[in-house]
Amino acid sequence: MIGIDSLTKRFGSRKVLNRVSFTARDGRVTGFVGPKGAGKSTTLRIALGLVRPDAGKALFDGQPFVRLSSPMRTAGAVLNPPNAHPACKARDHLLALAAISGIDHGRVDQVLEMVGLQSVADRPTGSLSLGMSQRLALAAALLGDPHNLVLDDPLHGLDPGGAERVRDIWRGLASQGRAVLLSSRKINEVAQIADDLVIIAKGRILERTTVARFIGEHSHDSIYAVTPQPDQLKAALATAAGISITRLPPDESCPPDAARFRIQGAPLASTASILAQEGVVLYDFQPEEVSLEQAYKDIIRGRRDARS
Amino acid sequence: MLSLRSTWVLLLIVMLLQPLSTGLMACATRVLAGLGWQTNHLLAHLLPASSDVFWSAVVSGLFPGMIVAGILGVLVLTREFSGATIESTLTANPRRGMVLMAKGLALALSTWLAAQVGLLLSWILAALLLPGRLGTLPAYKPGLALLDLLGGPLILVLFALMGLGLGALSRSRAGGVGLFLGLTLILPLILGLLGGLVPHVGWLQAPFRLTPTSLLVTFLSGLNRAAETGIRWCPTWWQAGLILMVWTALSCALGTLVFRRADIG
Repeated sequence: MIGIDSLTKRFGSRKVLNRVSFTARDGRVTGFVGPKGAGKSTTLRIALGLVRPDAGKALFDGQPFVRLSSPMRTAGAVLNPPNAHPACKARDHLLALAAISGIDHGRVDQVLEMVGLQSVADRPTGSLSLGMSQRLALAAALLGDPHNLVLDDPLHGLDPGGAERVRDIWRGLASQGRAVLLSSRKINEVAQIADDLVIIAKGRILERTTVARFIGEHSHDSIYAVTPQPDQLKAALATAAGISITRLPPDESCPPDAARFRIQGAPLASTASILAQEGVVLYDFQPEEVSLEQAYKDIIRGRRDARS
Repeated sequence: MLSLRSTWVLLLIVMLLQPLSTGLMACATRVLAGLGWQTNHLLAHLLPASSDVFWSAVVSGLFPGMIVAGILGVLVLTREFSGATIESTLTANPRRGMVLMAKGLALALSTWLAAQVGLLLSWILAALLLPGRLGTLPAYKPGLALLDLLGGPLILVLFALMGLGLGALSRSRAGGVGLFLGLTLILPLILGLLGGLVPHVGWLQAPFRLTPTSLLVTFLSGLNRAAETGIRWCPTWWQAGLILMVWTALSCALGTLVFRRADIG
């Protein structure tokens, strides 16, 4: 289990983490999602002892990472590949890491096979593609057969086949009762593999939920409308039963005199008729299948607007 | 560290620079002696080579070797920062002090081995090129042979560790190499120039003699009594060795302190 408790961190005058807390539980894959600069990597680096927090703590199975007696057996990490010397052969890189932790050298070939890199094991790591480097980093993380895995944007650069392969590995590890914490900017990527979801933006945790609950709450069909007459639109649809109208925050595609709405629970054709009868001017009117990505963006944008 | 080609290349340079330098110096000595013979002004102190000249030739490669060993020391840690290798290392072993100590140990052993082999090759080469080396050693330089042959490589180890400490302090290749060269080349150059050019700053000779490069010269010269130099104060060889150890310890302590507290990435 990976416990992140009230982590706070400043870089100079910039506060990058503000009391970040969540738990990545055993037997589950936890997706840690947020836009670029949200504080994901800093959180993971603090957890792994690479960055010192100003306040708070991160624990692996109840212990800070820097105090673990055998770190590679407790937690494996994939951070920012390529993280092997470009002149060093892939196998030598793993052998060196195995030697540091007293891990049997036979394990090196096992992890190379797990991630599908046996054929390039004797190539310098500098000649590997980004996807291969990602898989090599995962092989390094798996060397100690750890109980916890920390993965920072681990699908970046992987081709579909490689991505499916590593997803299978993570699922397998979680099913064995291990905790897998992976960060990503893309919620769709995370939703394919994660059980739990933690959303972060601007150094604050916005939501802790499960992927199933998040999908249930945010995936539904609706109508997207843009109008310069928001009051008339609301009045026209006010009498219809079972309809909910949500005003969306303005975005760059929205004309300055208009407002964006999401209309839920109303058939497309009859809603269009009502609005036409009432003479409501529409700039945009179309069916919308709210994607996870859209819901995630709305959450981040909504919280940002609420704070500003 | 030893799985990288650059490490082996630098160690090889540390080793081969010494016989190369010795060979050049021995040839130059023979040429000078030959000129003296032709002009009926034999430079008697050159051939048969006095022990001073002989041992100067043997250890002459330690001076460029010192620079290469120091740069090797800087690179041992800082090249991990130029990629993201340091993250792999520290997630495998997050105890940074221990990581630095392990690197220091590997660096010390490999540098000592390369320097010792190189110095023995230099000795053999000098014996071949400079016959008559067994002239009597001056009274104030007892045991010069042993001191140079066994102490020289150990002093190179101190410079390599100094480089490691400065690398940990700066955590960048350019910064670490710059600090090392500043300490070993630029600082003594400035102090030496000031001492020589500016009147009434004779006191600058004392800090000049405490610079690592000057201490290396003093150590290898085997001076046992300051009075022999005619200078107010000059460390003896063993004092020079001790002060060099202090320089190294200071660099390593500062480097460890900063490296242990630094944010990575």
